[in-house]
Amino acid sequence: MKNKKRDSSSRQALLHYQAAIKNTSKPFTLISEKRSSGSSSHYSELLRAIKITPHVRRYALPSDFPSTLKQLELGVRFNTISVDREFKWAFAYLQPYATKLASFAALSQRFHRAVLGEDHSNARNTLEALEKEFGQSLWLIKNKIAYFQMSAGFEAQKLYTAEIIQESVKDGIIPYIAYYVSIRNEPAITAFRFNSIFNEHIKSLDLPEGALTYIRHHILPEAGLSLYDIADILSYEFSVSVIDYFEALLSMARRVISSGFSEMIPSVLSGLKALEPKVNDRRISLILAGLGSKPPRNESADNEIAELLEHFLKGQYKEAMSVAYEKLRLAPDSSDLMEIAARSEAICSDGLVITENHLLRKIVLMMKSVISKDDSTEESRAELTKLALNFHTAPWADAIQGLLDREFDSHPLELRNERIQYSAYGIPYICSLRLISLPDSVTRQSYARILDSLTVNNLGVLYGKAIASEEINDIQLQSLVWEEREIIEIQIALQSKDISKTLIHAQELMKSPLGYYQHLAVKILSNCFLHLGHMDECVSFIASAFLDNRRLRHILPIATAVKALDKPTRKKMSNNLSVPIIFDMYSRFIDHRYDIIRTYTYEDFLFANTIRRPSQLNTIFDKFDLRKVIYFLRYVCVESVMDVSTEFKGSQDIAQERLAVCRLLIDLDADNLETYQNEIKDINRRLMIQRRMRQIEQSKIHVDIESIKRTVQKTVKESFLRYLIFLENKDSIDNMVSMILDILKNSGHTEDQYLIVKVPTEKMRDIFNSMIAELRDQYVSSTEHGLDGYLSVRIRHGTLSGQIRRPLEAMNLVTARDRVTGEYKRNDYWADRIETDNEETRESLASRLASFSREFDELIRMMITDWIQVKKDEKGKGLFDFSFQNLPIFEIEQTITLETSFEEFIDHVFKEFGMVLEKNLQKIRWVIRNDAKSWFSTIMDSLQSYVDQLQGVSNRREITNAIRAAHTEVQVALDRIIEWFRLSKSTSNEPFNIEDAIKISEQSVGALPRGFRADIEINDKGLEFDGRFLMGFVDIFFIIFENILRHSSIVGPPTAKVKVTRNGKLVHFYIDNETGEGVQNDSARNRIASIKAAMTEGKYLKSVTKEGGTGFHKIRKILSHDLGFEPKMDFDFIDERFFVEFTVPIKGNGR
Amino acid sequence: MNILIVEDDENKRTRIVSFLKERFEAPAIITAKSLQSGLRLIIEGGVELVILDMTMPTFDIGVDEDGGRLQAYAGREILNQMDRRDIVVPVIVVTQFDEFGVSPDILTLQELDLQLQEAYPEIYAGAVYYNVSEEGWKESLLKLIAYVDKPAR
Repeated sequence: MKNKKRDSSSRQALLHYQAAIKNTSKPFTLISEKRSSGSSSHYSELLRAIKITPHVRRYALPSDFPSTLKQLELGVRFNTISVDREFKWAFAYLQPYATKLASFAALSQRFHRAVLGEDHSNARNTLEALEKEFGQSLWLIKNKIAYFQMSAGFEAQKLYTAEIIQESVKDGIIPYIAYYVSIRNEPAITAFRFNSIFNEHIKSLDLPEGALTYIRHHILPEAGLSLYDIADILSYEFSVSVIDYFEALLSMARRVISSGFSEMIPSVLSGLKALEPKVNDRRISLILAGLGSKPPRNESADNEIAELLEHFLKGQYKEAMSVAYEKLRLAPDSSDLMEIAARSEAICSDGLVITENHLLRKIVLMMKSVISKDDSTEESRAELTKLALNFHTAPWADAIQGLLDREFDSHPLELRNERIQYSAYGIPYICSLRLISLPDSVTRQSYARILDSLTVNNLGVLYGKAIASEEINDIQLQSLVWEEREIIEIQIALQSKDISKTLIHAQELMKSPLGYYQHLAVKILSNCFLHLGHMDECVSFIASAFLDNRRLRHILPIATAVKALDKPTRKKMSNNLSVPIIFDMYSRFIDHRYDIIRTYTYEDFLFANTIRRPSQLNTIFDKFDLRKVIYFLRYVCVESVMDVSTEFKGSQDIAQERLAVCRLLIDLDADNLETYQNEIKDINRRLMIQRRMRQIEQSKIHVDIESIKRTVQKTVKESFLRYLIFLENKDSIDNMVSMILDILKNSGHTEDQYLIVKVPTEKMRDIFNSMIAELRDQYVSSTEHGLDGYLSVRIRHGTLSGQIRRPLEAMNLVTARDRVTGEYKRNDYWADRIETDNEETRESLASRLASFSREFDELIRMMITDWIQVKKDEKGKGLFDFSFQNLPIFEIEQTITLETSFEEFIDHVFKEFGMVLEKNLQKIRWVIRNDAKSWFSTIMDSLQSYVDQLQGVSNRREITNAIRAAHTEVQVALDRIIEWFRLSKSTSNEPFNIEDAIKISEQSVGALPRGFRADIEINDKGLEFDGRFLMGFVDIFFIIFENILRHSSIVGPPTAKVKVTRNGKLVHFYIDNETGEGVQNDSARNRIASIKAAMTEGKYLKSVTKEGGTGFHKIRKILSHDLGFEPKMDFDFIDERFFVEFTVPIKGNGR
Repeated sequence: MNILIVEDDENKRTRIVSFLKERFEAPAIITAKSLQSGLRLIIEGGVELVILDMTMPTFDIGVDEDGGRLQAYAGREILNQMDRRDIVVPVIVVTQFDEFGVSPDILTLQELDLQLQEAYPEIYAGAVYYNVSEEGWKESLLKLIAYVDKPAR
């Protein structure tokens, strides 16, 4: 009677829809309205009415089994309706295809099994059969790409993807999905990396939210879908193909159940019930069973799983493994067999010989690695995640994902986990292990009823029922390994939310000698402590568990524990060494949100133990767990953490403390001796380089007095001796002169005649003055050892300019001069970067920054040409004033007596010159501090004012911030430069490693923002030179590196390749770099030829004090004079590169 | 009033000091040039108002000291440390930047101001945007000083 009524209502509805569609001029609108507000119980009739009206069917319904890729593309689609209606629409639409879907279910299972067993001909044939019978689908595309990648490699999958893209609708969703699925399958990409690439890209798509959700569903399926998302996915999938619609329907049904959308369950249940008998897809049967519907038909594989599980639960691991592999040969997609095999192998893998090496075996091995948390855990996790993603339509992929989610779930006390549950509902076999993935006792008991449908009723089945809290006779469970009995107790306690009881059983489980069970206990215990608010125990336990096995970090609730450690709790626990350790674990493995709290916990711990520095732990470390002390010292007490403490005076003090910590670690942790020794070596080297750099910065003002003394031995000494003779006879000469003058005056002679008799006294003055002049010239002007040569090499040649310009270059605020026009280049960086519609503003800024660059460089040039020069006469320029008027000539002369030795005289003169130099240096420091700083400030303020007035620039803050940051830095740079102008301190003669010298030069060049790198290759790492040559080598490499920066003109950061080859007592240096387009021109070649010619003719010294140019003359002079080597030197272009080479002997304390 | 100015930019520091000397009768001003030197003076005590820069080196830069890490949020760190040590002295942030940090940890001055207000309501008085080519910062600074100088605080 009821059926009759229904048939009649159905017939009426069909006639009604048929007439309505026929009579309307807008059938699409009509269908759309009926879909959204008509009776959902008559969707089948509506769809039938559409199908039997051919002209409407063509555009209102998609092609069910598209024969081409163009047909597969989304066509006109109906608006998304409520999720309940979408489900009903899907069931109504798919019902007529049940027989076809049954065939699809069988073929797809065959394909997935063939993939696991790497049975390639079967897999290929099945794919062909699927394509032939069901046409194109996204299911086919995704599986084909993954399969081609796995079986035939990268090129084969890319070729197939290219065909898809070519044959699809241009710019459609299908080629887009194919493109990203192809990337997802590339061997070099991890799932994590793919996630970030894809998520970044999808943000840029200008598509409706629903379309984006749909695309994600195919490329990167996610948990946490809302009901709207589910409705959108179903709505979009309707427009694609019957196969994809069916797969989406099952997937969304699982989402509804696992997300706990209980209001949707009735619709899903009734739809699946109607579909299940004809489709015969076991996934549907198990979803239905999970929802409390009738248990599925028993299959032999289910019984085999139960039997295998019994072996495992009894601790018969070897039997479990061998039986599992035997059964898997027949049912390779039985993921429970895989998991039991993996668990058994994780506990005991001794003596098992497995000859297979197919995907199935590889998956089991990776599962084992993930379960046992061995050295390959991370790698296996990444590989399994990728595999599960690429074959995500396969039920075994769900099993893999489920295992990963369970193994790395750090909240095991919460039974509801959508991801785990979703995976569990995708597995088409019955197994007691599945119960742990289900969210509550009701669901578990419902599943336990399914277990009853099994023909076997063994220990495996009883175990499942016990987990579902069913009453089981204890005697029946006696043959279980005791650890599994504890797991049952834990699961029962968790279902009744009894955390204290859970804790007791987890503590028992912790006693297991098997790592497999211990790991499980660690996970549960740490969460129990956390849940019960036992923070001291929780943090101590987490730190200890981590130190026992660092790979357990994946299962420890680090993030939750750290979040629970608020300020008052931390204060209470300040004496707990595990607190800084757990914060360090968070920083290391999760993110940097709590970095600063980590530093506070470090200091709080020290203070709580009344010490100020970590090295002071040496007296009290035995109060703590030694492993924790070692971890704390090794990882927490590092410079970047310690610098938060007010205990340290500066960065060197902190480095010294780190050295002390490393030395303490050597005592406490001898196993890692080499690591600490290397760190000590690295810190010492860094400190040494810093010390040497400071030395070098403070050695710029230099005069080589010893060298001058040697030089003047001949020339000035002879004059000095003559001077002494005059001095000795000075009185008699004076008397004689006045006598002669008197005679001449009285005898009426003219002035001309008595001028002759003045000669002796003037000669004496001349001799004195010429000696002073000679010494002065040697002191200030000698290109070999005088002040001016050093000023040129160490300050004027690029160093000063580099130091002041660097902050501006870092912010791209200055440009260089055009080689041809001599004009400053426009600043395209900021012109392009500012956001404005006004092109004039852009142009104005580009040229204003060019003129700013000119003003800035002019100031530097003025410092170089007007200040940092030696002035030798009144007309000259320079603040190093060594003109005669400024020299204490009279004072020097007064000190010379007949007893004065030449050496005393020279020493005295140089002492006086030194005092003059000191006064000059004071003056130069004063003008830089007071004038230069103010002038640079003025032009930067002026630039700032100009930028402040720019109109219509939306991102003005960027350039404003850049100018301000650079302004502060320029002031700091000038402060540093002021310190250059101090008399050189004597440098250490301690031998230095040549690599350190090169590193110092590399760091001195700095080279922001383009960056500069020196790649150093040394055949004798222990090569050292005498300490007195350090400055010279640093100067040479500075000049070479600066040349590379200024002249190489390559795109991107320039690199110098430095090859140092020791051959006995000779060391050969070969430095080369790539040259950019246009660098190797005739003019450059001619210039190099002329420099070489000048060197050959010995003219290089003339160029030493000149600025600009390549600096090769300076290098030549440093080599031959400062370092005292007669060098073999060459430089030129070769191919697309430029090289400089020279050879020097090892002298002095070198070795 | 004993005022501590923690500021690494020499020009800005000089201008703030001059302005305070202009507007207040014999203020006792001490200065620090880095996070650590500023913090040390605060811990020592006796300071009644702190004027803080936001971005600073860890240590005072000198001949033998390169300053250590440049900290984009050094000012916030000082506030953090004051809070941690329960030091209740009003703090005014004077900054010439309206954006801080590097991607993805970028904050605008408004965002930072809000964050500091929420995190340190006891001590944080507000932020002043310093711009050398404008005079507005002086007025804003005066207002905040007047606010923190009220007996109620």
